[in-house]
Amino acid sequence: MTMLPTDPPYTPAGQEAAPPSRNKALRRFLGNRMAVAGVVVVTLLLLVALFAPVIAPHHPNDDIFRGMRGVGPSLEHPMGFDHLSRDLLSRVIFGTRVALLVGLVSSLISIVIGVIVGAVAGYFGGWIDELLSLITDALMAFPLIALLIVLAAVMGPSLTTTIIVIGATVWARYARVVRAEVMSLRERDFVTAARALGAFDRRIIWKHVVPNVLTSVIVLASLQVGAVIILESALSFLGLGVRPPTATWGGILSDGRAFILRYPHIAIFPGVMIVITVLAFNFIGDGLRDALDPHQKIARGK
Amino acid sequence: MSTYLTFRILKGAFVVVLISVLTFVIMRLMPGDPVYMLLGEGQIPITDAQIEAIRAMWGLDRPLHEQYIVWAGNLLRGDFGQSLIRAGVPVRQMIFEAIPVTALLNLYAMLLAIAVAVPFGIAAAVRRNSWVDYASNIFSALGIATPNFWLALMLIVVFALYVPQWFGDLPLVGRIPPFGLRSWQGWILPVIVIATEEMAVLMRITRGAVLELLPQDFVRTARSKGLAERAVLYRHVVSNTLLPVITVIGFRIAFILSGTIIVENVFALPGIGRLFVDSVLRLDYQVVQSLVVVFALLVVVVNLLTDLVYALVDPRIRIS
Repeated sequence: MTMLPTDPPYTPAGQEAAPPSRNKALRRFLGNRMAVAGVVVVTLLLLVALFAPVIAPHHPNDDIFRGMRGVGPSLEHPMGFDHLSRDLLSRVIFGTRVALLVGLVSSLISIVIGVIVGAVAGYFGGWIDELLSLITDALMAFPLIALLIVLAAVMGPSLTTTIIVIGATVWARYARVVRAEVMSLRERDFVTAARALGAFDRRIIWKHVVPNVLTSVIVLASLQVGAVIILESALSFLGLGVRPPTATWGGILSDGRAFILRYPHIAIFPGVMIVITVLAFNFIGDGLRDALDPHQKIARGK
Repeated sequence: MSTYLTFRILKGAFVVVLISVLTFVIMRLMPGDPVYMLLGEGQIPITDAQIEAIRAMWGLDRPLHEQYIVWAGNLLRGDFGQSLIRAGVPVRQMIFEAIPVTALLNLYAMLLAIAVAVPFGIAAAVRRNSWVDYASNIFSALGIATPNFWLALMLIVVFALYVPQWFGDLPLVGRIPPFGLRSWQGWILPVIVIATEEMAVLMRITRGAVLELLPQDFVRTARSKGLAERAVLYRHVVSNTLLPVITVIGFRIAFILSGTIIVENVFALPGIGRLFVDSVLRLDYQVVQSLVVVFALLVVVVNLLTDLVYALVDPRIRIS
């Protein structure tokens, strides 16, 4: 839920130094040990999510072990049992699916909205820019979790609601970065040339402007996925995200909170998974930024 | 400057109005009817006529725009209306009772965060690649990746279960209550949780700001005129670090509020965040929409003040 609201003033890459060649950027990224570790961890998590039914030793909801209510970790059940006598390891494994699904799909939605809003505002300028910037600023200034709580309550909590609501509210940072880049791109020669050749605005935006801002968007996105995963778990934690019995890390934490003094082990593992996942995405983001954007124009997201 | 100020205030006012209209509409789209909620969802037999009477009493039968105008007009006069659920309690009273808790919580947390993060951030930058630097980097990375509600749960486990077992007879640590604010010790855990996240962010910002300052000309000049390293640091570097730090703190108000909302719920603190979540879950329109306006107003005012402080602290900034 935290990100740095202050993006430093943007200077277009092309004006200070030639953008790094792809090979150089790749070498720089691979030289960053933390970033490579992040890629390994995220790959493993993706595999766990994809093959959850194969990997999980038990069914996350249906396998109920009589008499094992709230029993702590053992060799056969390394994370113990929850308050409904279900195997926690299996539930945490299935929780990976929701976390990654929401993290990636919500990010995709917010990228689409943010790029469109930012590109339109930066390209056309004038009152369109004023209006869109006002909305962007208002969105960035408002406590996101409050907005999410109200929207989730209104739409009725579910997986779809969670994905849409998060995607529809976290796009402001993309819009801001893209707008700033587009404003400087607009004055560059190749855009003027395209306009002189009679290209339509829409074609110029899609063919010439958007491809040029993708680097920044990719860097920002990798820094934002972690924040989105935390938002999802926060919503589920408050009971306004994905509904039980679906296993989600935030949902298990919510169970853990209800029984925190009786079965404290329930709350430990989903939190560890969130921290590991968010760290991995943040390291990838830092690595991508250092490799692609050596001037550090994009403030770190959380 | 004064035209800029007028423009900023107008823009801020517009944002607050926009947010209030949106919330008003969204809250009315919510499934569920507060009248039923109040009467316990069919547990008490009531006639349609009685329901209509209750709706008329609260003005829920009038068209949406009329309801908004009545509400906004009252708001401007400082009348936030009455809670729909806690019948008869003025919303203003509920909010004013909750504000001190949230304000103090965040104030203590920010002071703690600044007191720890700024010195460590400076030390990390000055002794780059030393153990201080590594430790502060690890702390920042972990602090940013840890959800505050999980940290809260873990602290509750440690301080409510294990510490009393092992150190129960220690004067302070043995008596940290995990929930509520019945004694002053109740503040300790929530303040630590909120401060941790801010500390992580501030440490990173401070370190970055100092790293950017160190290679600059005025630092070299200060050094070359024979000033001791310590004096260079205190007089030239630290004072110039304050500006970015102040700005970040000011602009983080929205995120700080976000954090409070969840943390207050975990620790059962009677602050604005808990009031907000409770009111959303109980469909208490009046409280939710008033709180949203309070949030918006707070953010707009703090951002404006941050801008002004920025301009006052740094004479180079001439706002056009």
